[in-house]
Amino acid sequence: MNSNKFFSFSRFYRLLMNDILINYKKYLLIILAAFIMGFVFLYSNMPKFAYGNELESSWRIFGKNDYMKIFMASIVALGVLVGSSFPDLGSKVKTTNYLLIPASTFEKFFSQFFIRVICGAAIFLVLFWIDARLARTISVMQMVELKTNLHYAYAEQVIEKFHYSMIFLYDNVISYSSEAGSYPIEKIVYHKSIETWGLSFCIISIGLYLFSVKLFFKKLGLVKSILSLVALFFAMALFMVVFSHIFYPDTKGFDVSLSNYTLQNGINNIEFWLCLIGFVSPLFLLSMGYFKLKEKQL
Amino acid sequence: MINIQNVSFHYKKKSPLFNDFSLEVESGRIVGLLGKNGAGKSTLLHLISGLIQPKSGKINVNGFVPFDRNPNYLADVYLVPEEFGFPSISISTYVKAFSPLYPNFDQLKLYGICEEFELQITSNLNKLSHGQRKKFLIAFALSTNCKMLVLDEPTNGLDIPSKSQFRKILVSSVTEEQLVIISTHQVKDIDTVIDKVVVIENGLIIYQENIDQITQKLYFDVVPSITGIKNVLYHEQCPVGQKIIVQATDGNESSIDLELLFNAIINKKI
Repeated sequence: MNSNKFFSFSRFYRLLMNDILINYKKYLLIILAAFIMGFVFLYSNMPKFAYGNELESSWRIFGKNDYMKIFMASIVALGVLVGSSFPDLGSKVKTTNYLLIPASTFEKFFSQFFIRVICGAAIFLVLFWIDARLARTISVMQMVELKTNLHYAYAEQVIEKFHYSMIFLYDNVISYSSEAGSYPIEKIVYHKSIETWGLSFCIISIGLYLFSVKLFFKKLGLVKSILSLVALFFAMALFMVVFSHIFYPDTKGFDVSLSNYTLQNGINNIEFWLCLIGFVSPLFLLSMGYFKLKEKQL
Repeated sequence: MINIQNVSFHYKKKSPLFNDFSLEVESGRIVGLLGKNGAGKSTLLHLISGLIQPKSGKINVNGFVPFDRNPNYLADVYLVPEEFGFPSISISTYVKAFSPLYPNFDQLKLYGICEEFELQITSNLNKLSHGQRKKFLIAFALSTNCKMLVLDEPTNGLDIPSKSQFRKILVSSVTEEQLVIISTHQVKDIDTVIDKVVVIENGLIIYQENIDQITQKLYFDVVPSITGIKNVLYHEQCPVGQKIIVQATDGNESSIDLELLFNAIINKKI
């Protein structure tokens, strides 16, 4: 089998350079806009006033919960970037050019993934970090200047210094009892597994779903993708409810009955199941997207 | 070389466009693909380029199956579509971005053709007129030195001097290893450059012949009247009398009137 027809580094590099040469202005504008918006969003949410000479319990501390909320909201911006993947599949003219570019389907698919998902996420993380540090520095300086009595060291404590462990080692989870039993449907989304690995995988899944939007839908891609995503969630919830009624006859209404037990090393079966779904669906979406591109016709 | 065997194709919810269609064309030729509107010319070009997949049958171009879109195949095929678009960048940036993807790209040839077409390489592609953009696309296509060039209505939008330049440049830049397929309605624009004619109608080849064979068999003439002329295969009125096609005799050869030939074929006189 000739692997060159699937992937060649030199061809992939040329394809990347092709994309960058054509779209560099657009990418720079996106980076600049993301940087400014991120800064404005963080800065406007950070406290500017704190009275007193010493640390006071009444002070509103801007900490990891606040960073987490803003980080999650900012991910939407990354979602928009990822959702704009395969811009050349928007019209017949562009599709013709794109499909005939001398590169393999895998290279075309991976170049979009590399630029939008890998580089997009990396730049997003860097920008968010810079924005958070910059917004904090300015807010702290402003606080010291505005409030003459506030010592700089205290001002620094009002706004915690941002670091990524606040996001990725998020331990403030809402956990439900691990007893076997019936879960009202709304409680499922608050399960601690969802808050940790499950949530991460869900974000990745949604991101990859958005990544493949143009491959699945020719027109009104974003609207159709949102509608189908909602339909997919409803279908999954309904699926769980139906099975709960079949296997646990005592289940009431739209509740979901789940047998809850520890598998190994403290891993809960529900956690394992959710992570499995979250882990498998990106792989499924990626491979489906690849084959959609491979079979794409004018 | 193109080898199409028993190909069938139809668009979704539409009647079949090709049914058991076969065609074989060798390299080193400039083929004129002619046909009325809706005959399937562009669809055939899309099938050959790998943009669409036949429902049944086999297509083989230079040893590749087009729809596999093997990168080595795509690096040796260039399609100039009837409708086209460019990103908003300068000609030089476009060349920097796309020429490395074609291993046999000749930059000097491109700049030479651009000069002949009076195109400035610093110009932004989207600020050029339709005709100028078409000229650049043709220049780029010829400079790729791909083994197969597929030109769909290449002279649409070109002014009269540019059409003449196009013919001159095409003939001078195509080599024996290349195969050029030109699909057009404007048959007069290509009658001096092609060396094979293929006419399709309703998804079928109704005529295919090399130009030298046509001129050996048929004689094209303009006469004041057809009265007294025997064996007139087809005639059409023109300002100075009648344009006629008769059987060629005694090795007499004439220059081909492709439009007249096409009308004769469509009217089933040949």
